[in-house]
Amino acid sequence: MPFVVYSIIDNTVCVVDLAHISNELSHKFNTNLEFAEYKNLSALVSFVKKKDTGTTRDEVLCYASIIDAMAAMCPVLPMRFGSVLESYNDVLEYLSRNADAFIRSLALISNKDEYSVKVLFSQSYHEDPVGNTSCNDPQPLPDILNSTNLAREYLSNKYKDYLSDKKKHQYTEQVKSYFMSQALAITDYIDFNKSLSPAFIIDAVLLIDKSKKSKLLDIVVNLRAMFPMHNVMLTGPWPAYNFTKTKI
Amino acid sequence: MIDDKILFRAGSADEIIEELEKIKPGIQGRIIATPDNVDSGLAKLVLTLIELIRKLMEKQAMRRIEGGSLTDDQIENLGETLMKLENKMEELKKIFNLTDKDLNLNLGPLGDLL
Amino acid sequence: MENDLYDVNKEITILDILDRVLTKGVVITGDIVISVADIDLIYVGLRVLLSSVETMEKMKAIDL
Repeated sequence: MPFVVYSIIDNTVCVVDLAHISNELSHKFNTNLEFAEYKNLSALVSFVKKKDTGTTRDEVLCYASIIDAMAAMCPVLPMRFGSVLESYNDVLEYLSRNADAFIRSLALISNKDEYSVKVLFSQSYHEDPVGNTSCNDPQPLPDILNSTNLAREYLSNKYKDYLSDKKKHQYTEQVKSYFMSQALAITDYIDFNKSLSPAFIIDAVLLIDKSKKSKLLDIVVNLRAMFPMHNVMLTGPWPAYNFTKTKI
Repeated sequence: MIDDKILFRAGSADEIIEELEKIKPGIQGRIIATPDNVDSGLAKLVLTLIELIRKLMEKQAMRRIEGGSLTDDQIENLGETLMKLENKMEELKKIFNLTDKDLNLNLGPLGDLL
Repeated sequence: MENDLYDVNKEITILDILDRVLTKGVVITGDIVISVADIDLIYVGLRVLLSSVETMEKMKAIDL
């Protein structure tokens, strides 16, 4: 009988009665939720039927909502969507096998929440995305690329792209390091998402003490004031999805 | 059911949504091959790897140009080779009905390949 | 106007949620399943693929 695993908690930290939590969530989400317990760890699980149809967006959002509701009551390690184990015993074995790692991670995230900061180039500034903060002198192309020959022309276009990418990269690094210098004052846990579309300058996740939430907001407001030409956004608080990841 | 999680937002919401849509992960984490698309499934894997190598070569070439150590003949050869390679790639993509977006692999915790 | 703002923020929130819950969070294993005609053929365990220096025992466990 396969089980979906939503999140993992440390019983000793959770002040709310587990039976009460599972009852309340089961009712709210109309799903049969229960806790699988191994020593101090519990995993919120629900029985699931195997099905042939594809996954829908609503199912994914419902999964996330259950984790979110759970996180409102007690610190959780959120599982990725699609975490299914073959049986109840497998859930227990999974907990026991990784117990030390789970306890360590739960200790790391207790009293903290995850936030996302995104900074994007705005299309209204597309003509000169890098703004006037860097020098605008067109960089000279090497003479060797000057020719009407097709191959050279191809290469010289590629080279121009390469130079402008490089310039853009330098600029994003500047904005990033400015943001870092502020954010490091309130947390050691900052991660930057690397696989991005070209519009992104910063896509960062931060693990922030609950007491420092307003300081983070100040930093982001200040960042926008420094760079009014960019789109800026702060979202949260989230369960610590980005800080419980597996490291290879 | 979902609470609004926006604490601060400045600039164009439409642009933000557009970009988030672009990086939105697919809901299915599988490469599904059926009798109809088995060619394109395998081609996708192979072309992804070729594209990775092609891009690495291109970047390396740009660094060499920047370094200024290439002779006239080398530049000529380089331009022609890279151009033909890219054209060939475009042909192959068309044959197997693949777009640039298809030529990527999500490596889970490592992010995207390209 | 109020409603527009609500919809826009909700849409952004949903996109942010999808990104998190589909690509982040604790995993049981990181897999790519290649299937032909609904028959799963190749099961690429990323951890197995990428953690060749670790012992078999460690590969079975998830370290955080």
